[in-house]
Amino acid sequence: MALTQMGTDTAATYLLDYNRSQLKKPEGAFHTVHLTSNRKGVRLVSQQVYLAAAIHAPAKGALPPEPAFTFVGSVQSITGQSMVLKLDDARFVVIDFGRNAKVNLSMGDRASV
Amino acid sequence: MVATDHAGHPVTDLQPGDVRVTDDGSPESITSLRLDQSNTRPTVAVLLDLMDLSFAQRNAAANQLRDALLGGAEASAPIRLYILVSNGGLYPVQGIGRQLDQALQKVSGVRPLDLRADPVERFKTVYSALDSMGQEMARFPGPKQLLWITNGVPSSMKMVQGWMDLKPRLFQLAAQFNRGDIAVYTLDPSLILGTLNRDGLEVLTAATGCGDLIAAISKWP
Repeated sequence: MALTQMGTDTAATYLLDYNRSQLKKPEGAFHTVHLTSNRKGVRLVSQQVYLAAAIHAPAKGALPPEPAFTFVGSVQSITGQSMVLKLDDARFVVIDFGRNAKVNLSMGDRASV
Repeated sequence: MVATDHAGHPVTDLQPGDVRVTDDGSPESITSLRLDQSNTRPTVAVLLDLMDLSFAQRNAAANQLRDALLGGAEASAPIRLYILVSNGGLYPVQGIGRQLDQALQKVSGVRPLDLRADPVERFKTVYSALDSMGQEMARFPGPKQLLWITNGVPSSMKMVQGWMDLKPRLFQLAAQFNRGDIAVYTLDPSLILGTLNRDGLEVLTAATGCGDLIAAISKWP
């Protein structure tokens, strides 16, 4: 029962973004979040607290951070320092490793990059 | 965020206009809402909390857990099993068959928690153990689900000076779990009548987005 319910929870999970209008809290303080639906009969459950993170001004002359992505899928092919990853949504991504990177993956392995 | 109808079926067609969000009580504007279709299966861990179970009750709980897991309960991913003992130690168990018996044998020297012990110390021990469990699970990539089989923790405590509100500490713990993308579910072993303390569990599970899943382990398939 419990494990079945846990599986259900993963079946209709949404990702939600919003702009926070509140003033910044000190790092480590928690915010409380409340979600409701105005559609009749819909019940929402979500994380209700999160920790405020510190936002530091970038050092002068520092390069802006590169965008970060995580690709999850199965290894379609791997040759030398490059591999093709088939993502769960059927897209393909070519990943090039650094020259000294030690990679221990084979075709069919699941990988998160 | 998980959306269901009254019957518990998933609702998969929500639009931003269907949802309202407040942050510390202030209404906020939603910039995007989309269904998570990554199909990333969560890492599932079960924490068998032996802190206040007697030796006989430990074995009964372990047997019920084993029956439930071997008896066809459908988990969405392989399950990692941990035992929590009264000194706050966490013991990973490699399997639910003989390995679980061996693990219970190993921890048999650790006495159950004295229920008359200082409640503040007891809360601190539970808090610290859960914090360690969160750190342990945060090592795994992607979403995680923790099923904590426990008699519970209080959300407030009567002290000489008056009542101590423990909710802020539980929210802090929940926020740590949320940062690690760990949803916390709880399950009542229903073995010691009168000692179950659901208040704190309701705070913790609700804050990590798991609603109110508290049931008797005997109801497992």
